[in-house]
Amino acid sequence: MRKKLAGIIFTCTVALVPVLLWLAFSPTQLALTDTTQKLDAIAKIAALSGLALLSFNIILSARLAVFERLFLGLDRAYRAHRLIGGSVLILLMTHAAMITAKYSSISLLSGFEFLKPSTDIALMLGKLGLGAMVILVVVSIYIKVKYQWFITIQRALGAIIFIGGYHALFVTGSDMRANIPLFGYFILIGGSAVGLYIYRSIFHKSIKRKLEYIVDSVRHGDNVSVIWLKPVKAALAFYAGQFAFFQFTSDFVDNESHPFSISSSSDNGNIRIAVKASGDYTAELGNINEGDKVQVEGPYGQFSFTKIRTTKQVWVAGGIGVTPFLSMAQILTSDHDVTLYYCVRTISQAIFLGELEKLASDKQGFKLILICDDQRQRITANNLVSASAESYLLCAPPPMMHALEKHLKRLGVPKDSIYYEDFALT
Amino acid sequence: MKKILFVSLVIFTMFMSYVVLGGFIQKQQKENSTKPSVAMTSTSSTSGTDTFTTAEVAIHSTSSDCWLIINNKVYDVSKFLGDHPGGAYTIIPYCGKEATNAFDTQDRGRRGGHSDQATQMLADYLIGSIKVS
Repeated sequence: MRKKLAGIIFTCTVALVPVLLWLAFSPTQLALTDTTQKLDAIAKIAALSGLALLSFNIILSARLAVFERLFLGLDRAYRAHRLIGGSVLILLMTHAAMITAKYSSISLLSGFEFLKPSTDIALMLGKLGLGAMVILVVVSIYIKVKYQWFITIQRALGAIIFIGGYHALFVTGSDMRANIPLFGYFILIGGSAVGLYIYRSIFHKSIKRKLEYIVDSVRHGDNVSVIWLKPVKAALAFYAGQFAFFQFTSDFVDNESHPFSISSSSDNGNIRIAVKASGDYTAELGNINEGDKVQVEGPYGQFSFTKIRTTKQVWVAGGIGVTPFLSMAQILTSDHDVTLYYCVRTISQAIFLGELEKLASDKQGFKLILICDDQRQRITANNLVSASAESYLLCAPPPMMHALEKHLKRLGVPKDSIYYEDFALT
Repeated sequence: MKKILFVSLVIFTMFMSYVVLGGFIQKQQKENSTKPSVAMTSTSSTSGTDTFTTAEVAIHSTSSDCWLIINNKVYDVSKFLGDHPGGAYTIIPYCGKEATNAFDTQDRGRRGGHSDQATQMLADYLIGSIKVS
């Protein structure tokens, strides 16, 4: 339980340290006798937390291993990234609203004069930066855009750190340069963010090492492509259940990096992924051919039965969500007692059924239950609980997964014993 | 998060629109009402003969009580803040402080500064000068 809070505690610390530094070391005595001073103090606190969290979010997006561990898996780190991003926008809007309120408390006219475009560069940049951020966040959250656009928007959001940094340093009334500890803190966190941003976006480099693979064999069919990859030199070291980012070099596929679960065991260095054509990019992967080059970055993820102490487990796979379980099932030993529920719409979609059936007959303690929608079979939390397992591992489309998770909790399954892989990563 | 963000965005937009619209209306009203009176404001009252230390001036550092030091003279601009054509926000950071350079350059770091008319208006708010030790 304490471990689960580590990410939250760390994030709050990042946001609160600059506020404390500002309160402790501000050159001018903090006096809150006047409404305008109170509004000013709130505005500054919001801005300091907002800028610190924006920096932290950029650092988080570099997928450093230390933060993946802190948030217990990359999917959770991404979820934190989204929440932090939302908080940054709310804090920075609060900042702007409080400053405007400060001047409006004198007269609405002076509030208006403040909002009007001016020749003060640092102030203007602050306004433009926030305006851009509002537009970009609205587009990325409320409008469904293509993946490439989504990435471009995310990059543009990161670039706001430059504008925000300049604004924070040079705007009239900023305490940043006069408060050495505060300045030092932002040099550290903002500097790291800017450094990582430049390294990743401008030089198009990943912090992580990428490994060269080539497509060994590929089987297309029924909306799913099963792709086997062979390492050119070094093979990826991963454990069953993890995923990696794959970037294909092919005339028919965009040169983007996308995450997929590894569905093979880590025995011989070869990697198998199974991709369902559900979007533009995944549909393009239907054109992959033998011999195409692939760059593999990873591994990521903490979703594995090996990481769980209890041995009596229920696994639930929804459709293509079966992939991490395929790699896990292969290394299962008889000291585990696992029941895999494999849920599909029609039996023809259960493309890994043969492989799993063979594993189930070979391995003691591994049971397979196929559930098909078209045969009026439904998976319910009641089914799962009746197996009286100690832990539940879910990997399915988000609506199914969240519904099951909710029902399991309602049936008294403790939150700590439900594990899931969010494969709708963005 | 989506819901909270949506509510925040709505509140933020409404608040900003309120200030912009309200301020704009006030500006229009003011322009209509102050035009005739501009000619009468040339009477300058130089009552300020008191002397202050910089520490005394520093106490008056809020938007409701704002003193400025410009060319070693002390001005109480508290009542003027809302009327400043450049907006109160350009003055407030200097309340209780030395503002000569800010007044001379309008904070743009280059020459230019305020008009003669503005300099005359400033004289209306003179309350004294800085004590030379």
